[in-house]
Amino acid sequence: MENFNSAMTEANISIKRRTRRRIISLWIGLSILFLFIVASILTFFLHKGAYEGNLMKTFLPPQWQSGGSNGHFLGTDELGRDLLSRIFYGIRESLLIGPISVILASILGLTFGLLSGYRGGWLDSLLMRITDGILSIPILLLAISVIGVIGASTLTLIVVLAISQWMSFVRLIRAEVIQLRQKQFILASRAIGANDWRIMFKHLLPHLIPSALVLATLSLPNVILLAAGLDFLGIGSTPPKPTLGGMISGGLKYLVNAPWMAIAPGLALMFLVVGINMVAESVREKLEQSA
Amino acid sequence: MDFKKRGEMSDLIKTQAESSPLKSHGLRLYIARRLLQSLFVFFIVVTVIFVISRMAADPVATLLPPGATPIDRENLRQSLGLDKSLIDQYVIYLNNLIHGDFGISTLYNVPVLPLVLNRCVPTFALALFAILWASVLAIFLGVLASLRPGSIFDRILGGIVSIAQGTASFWLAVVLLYIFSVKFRIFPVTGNSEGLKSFVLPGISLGLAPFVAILRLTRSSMIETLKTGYIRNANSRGLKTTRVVINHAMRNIAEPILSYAGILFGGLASGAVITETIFAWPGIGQLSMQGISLGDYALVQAVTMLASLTVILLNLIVDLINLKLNPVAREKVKQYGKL
Repeated sequence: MENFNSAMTEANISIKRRTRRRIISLWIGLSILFLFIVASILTFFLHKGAYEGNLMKTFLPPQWQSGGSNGHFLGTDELGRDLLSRIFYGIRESLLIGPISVILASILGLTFGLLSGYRGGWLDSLLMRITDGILSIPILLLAISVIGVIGASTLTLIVVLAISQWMSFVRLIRAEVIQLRQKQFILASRAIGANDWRIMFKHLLPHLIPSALVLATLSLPNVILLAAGLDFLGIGSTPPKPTLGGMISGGLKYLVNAPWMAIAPGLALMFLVVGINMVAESVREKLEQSA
Repeated sequence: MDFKKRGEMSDLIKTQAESSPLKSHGLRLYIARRLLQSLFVFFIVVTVIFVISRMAADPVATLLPPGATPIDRENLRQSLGLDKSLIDQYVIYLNNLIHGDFGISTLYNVPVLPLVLNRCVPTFALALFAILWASVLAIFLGVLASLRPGSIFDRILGGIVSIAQGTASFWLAVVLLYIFSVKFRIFPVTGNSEGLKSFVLPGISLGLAPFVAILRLTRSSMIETLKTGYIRNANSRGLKTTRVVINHAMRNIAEPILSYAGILFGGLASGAVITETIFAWPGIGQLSMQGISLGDYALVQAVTMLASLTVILLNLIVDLINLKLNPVAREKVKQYGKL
């Protein structure tokens, strides 16, 4: 009995410790995100430095290095544009495009997952095979094929990113619907004569929202990285717009003389993704613990 | 239930399998079913690519110079077969594919298929290099971390993993280039002409994502396995930890890790577009980027199709290897013809 008790307290301690660690990482992640959101709001007040260069001040190194200028904390690029304000713009772009495409993906995924899981039969098999097919096309090549045909633009980028993520939503939602549709409350609502659409969107949908939300937060960092990759290849958002990926590929050309041009935006991207990951992981752990 | 001699359990399963009407046909049935499924998935891929290629508002406009007359336009439309109905176009397209005709590259003016197949080798070699270092290192570190979850080592590794997860592979490539090629000049900047040396930087940046993925999987599945009864039994028999981990626990997690690594390898062998572009690696990823920037659409299509085929085939192979490794799955397949 004594042994049992001590084992219990040990387990309690480790749960407490884990909870504390989770809360700490949640707050670190949230504060990183808060800083980045503030930075992207700031872009509305500093329009000049990011777009208009000063050809007298090209390739200035960061302020703390020798030769750095006071006005430009992270230095300037090949056209004399301020790097820090361009990074702020890039963050704004990532924070706009990422969530929009994830929302689009989850709407698509919820709709098709519900249809597939609830209706079953040939529709289910067909939809599953189609998702298998699209999943086996490497996502960058799929993006390249689509962009090659309809041209690069922000809208294309959002659609391509949504396409890249919606299959995982379909699979998750479908699996959950298959479990839920045998529950009594669904039988009961069918017994009182509710039609399929009402059951799907009024009764099943609310049960699917939490797991869809978790998947959405987990796929947000992937989407942001993928968007940066497409920007890096020059087939994402249209060029004059500052994007983190585009800035890294621009800096690659001047790597020998001005390495900060490629390294600084990559660091910003890393902090952004790590911050989102920290929030997403702690939310997921919290849900797993309470379940 | 006690089994007097070893292997009695598997004998029991065997006799069950032999008594079923399918007998040994189950395995053949399963392989046939998986082959057919893969074929169908590839058919879907081909169809998706066809649909994408017809999404353009006016494909002729991008192919002609600005001063083209309406007659030129109509001629080109006819020679490309765009004047026919969409269904006819689809049938012609499928027919060409079955006969191995993937179109002609407008960029190189040769049939696309041999061009792409030639470029597959460097891509494949790079992907193999990346998946090898990633899985060896990830399995080693993951197992070490799983022995004492929550220890200092585990937490430091966890921190490194979460930073690595946020690192874009192309940015890592740029940083590596700066450190090792610009500052210290140890490794070449581009190309694959310097043997093993030229593999290092692109291999590291390409292997980053699979490294993180395999490490996480190894750690979590090893932690779960070490909690099970047969491991406790092995420990209580007084076996050394190294032996318990390597001979007993590794066997259990080998199968999920191998299938995951196989699928990740499929992704690498087909999607190394960014890495190949940065390092001017002469593979299919670079070819597809050339194709898109110079308007050679047949090239992009062929690369996409072959890459998807690679992914589908690797999935199939991974499933068949699993059958070899996992006796439970094998007996189930023998008995029912499916998993």
